[in-house]
Amino acid sequence: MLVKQSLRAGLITGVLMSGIALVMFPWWALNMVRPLALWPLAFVPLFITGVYAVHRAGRLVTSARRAALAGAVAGLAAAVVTVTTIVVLSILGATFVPPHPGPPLWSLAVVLMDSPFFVPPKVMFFSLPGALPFPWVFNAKMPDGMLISRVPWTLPLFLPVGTLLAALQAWLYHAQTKLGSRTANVIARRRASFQIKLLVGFFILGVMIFVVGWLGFAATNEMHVQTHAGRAKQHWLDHLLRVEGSLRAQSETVSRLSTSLDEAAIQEAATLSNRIGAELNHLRTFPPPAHPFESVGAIGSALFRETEKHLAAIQEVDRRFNDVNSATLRLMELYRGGRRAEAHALLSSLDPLQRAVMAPLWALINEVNVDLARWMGAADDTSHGELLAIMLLVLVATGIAFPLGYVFSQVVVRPVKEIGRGLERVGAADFSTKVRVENRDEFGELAEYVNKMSAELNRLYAELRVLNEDLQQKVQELEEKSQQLEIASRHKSDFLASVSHELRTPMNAILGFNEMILGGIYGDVGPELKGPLTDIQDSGKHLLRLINNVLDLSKIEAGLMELALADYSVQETVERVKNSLRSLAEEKGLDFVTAVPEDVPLARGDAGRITQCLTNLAGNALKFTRQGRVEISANRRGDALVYRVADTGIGIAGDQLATVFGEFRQADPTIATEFGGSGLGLSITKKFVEMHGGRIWVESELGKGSTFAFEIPLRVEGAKTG
Amino acid sequence: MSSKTILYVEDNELNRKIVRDLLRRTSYRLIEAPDGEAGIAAACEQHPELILMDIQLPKVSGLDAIRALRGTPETADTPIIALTSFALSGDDQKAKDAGATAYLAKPFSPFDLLTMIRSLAPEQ
Repeated sequence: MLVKQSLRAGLITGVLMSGIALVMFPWWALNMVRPLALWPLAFVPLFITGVYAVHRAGRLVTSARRAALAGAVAGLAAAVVTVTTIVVLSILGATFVPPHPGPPLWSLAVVLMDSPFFVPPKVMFFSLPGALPFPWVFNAKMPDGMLISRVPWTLPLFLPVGTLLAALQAWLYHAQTKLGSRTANVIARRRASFQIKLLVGFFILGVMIFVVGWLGFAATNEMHVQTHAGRAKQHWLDHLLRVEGSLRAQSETVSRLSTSLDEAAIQEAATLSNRIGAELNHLRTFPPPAHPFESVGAIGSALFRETEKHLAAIQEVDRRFNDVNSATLRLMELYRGGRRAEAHALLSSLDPLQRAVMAPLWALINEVNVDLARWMGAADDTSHGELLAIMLLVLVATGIAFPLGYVFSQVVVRPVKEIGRGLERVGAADFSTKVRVENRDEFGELAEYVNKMSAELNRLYAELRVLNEDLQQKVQELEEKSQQLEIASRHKSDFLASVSHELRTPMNAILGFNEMILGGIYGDVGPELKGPLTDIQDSGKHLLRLINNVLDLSKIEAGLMELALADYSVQETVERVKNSLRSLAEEKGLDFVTAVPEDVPLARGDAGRITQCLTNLAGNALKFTRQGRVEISANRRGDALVYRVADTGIGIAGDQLATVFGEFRQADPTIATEFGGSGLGLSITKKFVEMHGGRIWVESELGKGSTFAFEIPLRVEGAKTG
Repeated sequence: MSSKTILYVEDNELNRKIVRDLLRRTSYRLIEAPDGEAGIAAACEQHPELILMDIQLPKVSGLDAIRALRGTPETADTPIIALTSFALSGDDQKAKDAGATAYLAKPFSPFDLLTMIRSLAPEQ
């Protein structure tokens, strides 16, 4: 797995490198130019091969050794891909690109020659014993005409170097991530605001950039100064050689004068003498005014040092030359004064004088020459050294900058990730979450807030759970209770129903036999028995009504009551109720009337139940009215029908109006003792009205009578069960 | 002169006695059956002129018995008075739907029943 992943990483970086090379190298070749220092671009992917391999292998990299292995595999793969590409390019280059002078651009040779490693072309290649059997860009013709193929060392060396480099890189990266993580911890644990930490990081980077830049500047300056020193030396050498040449010419002139003394020659010697004097004077007063800025500072002092170094020697030369010069002037004087003998004598002394000048001059020339040669070597060394130093510094700076960036990213990323994971857990309702971060800065605070939030949520959740459990328990208890109640209620209903039925059967017999006795079926009944027998009949009927009411209510409560909907005549219904209660009204001497307009149409509903409702209401009205009247009326109100039963009875107190429709209720419990009644009638009436989709209400004033009214739809469709 | 036969299907002895006593001084001949099954059998054997059928009966309910009688050719046209046991709405409608000619809600007045019998099967 590790090898597979690393191999893939290497192949990807190798292809990337080859891609860049494919774009860059042909461009170089076709344009026959070498873009300045662009070559490292093609190798950038190689710099990340090891890192990429470790990254790609991820958790498979469990140790530094495995990291190195991953890097080595990836490096080798990348190198193989790259070398293959270069070989292909070298073949293609020999096929398509015309030959050109200079080093072959189709190779890494360019790279090495342009690089600061300064590999001489001679050692860059090794030769094969013969020519390769295919076109090859590095073929060379031997002096004997034989063609041999050369191969750049970079090609085979690339494989082990790439492998080692990537392995080292991977190992370092692995170590660095471990070290980086530790360093990140150290930074994170600092008790300071993250802004300060970041500023410190940038300050360190800034200092490094400054140091690199400053050292670069210093190196450039140093080289500049050295260049000037070299120029000064060259200057010296030029002038000294000119002096030497003039001296030589003068010497020749003098020797010519010794054979034939003529003015022109003397003049020439004098002119040469002047020139030499001027040169020497120039050298003595060196440095010359160069650039105004360069006459001071490092460059000025470098030039001055050059003068100082040779000043004694040039002064000696100058002093000796003065003798030559004065002798020349004297010679001119003597010649013009016609003193020829003296002139000849002087001529003979001139030669030794000239020789005396030549000796220190040559010594000086030699010295400057040697100095110049030494300088050239030193300058080379210096510039190479400086370049290497700058390169190293750049490497070190970037080597520090990248890990520093990594460390700082870790300082930020790790707590953010950790907090993010924590929040994710909180989001998934894991309130025991505790976010642990190393940071003691803003991120640490943030983590602390998340922890506080989590703890608070945990507390609330626990409370909620307790409340919920409590609630569930209560709900269960309630459910159990309601079930028990339901069962009890059903038992009650069953009981009432069966009791009613059982009561009714004997009542039927009692009433039936009593009526037959009264009707004379069993023989004549004397007038003294008629009264009590009639009382038995009335009481029996009353009892039967009560039983019916109980039965109805139990049926309604059990949800078994159903309406039998049919068309019915409102007028007939009201009339039937009046007829059934007429005798009671007559007994009490009450005015019992009905009022239903002719235009009230056929209605739809359960006529039996409506009859029962009106009977209940009118029966109550008659019961609770001692004198006056009871009126049953019905009126149409749009789509509704309103039945009213009004009386002039005892009335109901305002505070009891609301409760009269409850079961087993009477407005005043004491009333039962005077008027009787179970209090079931009204509640049954109310239920029947509601089953018809209507409502019932009462208007009353104590002592002035009551009006019970209910409103139901004129035509009831789809009845509700009780 | 042959008296008319009335079949009374009723499980309660006291109720049967009421009707028995009620009809004692009339010309009607009363035959009785204590449940729906016996009622159907009696109706098929003796061809009564009128049937009084209680709705709440053991074995076969009154409603089912009425339906069975209506499905039998011999008794298809015999008038049947259904004695609905509860004075509840719906029972009368159910009785009519099952095929009863008339109904009377219990508890009934014996004289009302007699009036109804006489109107459906007049005495000779």
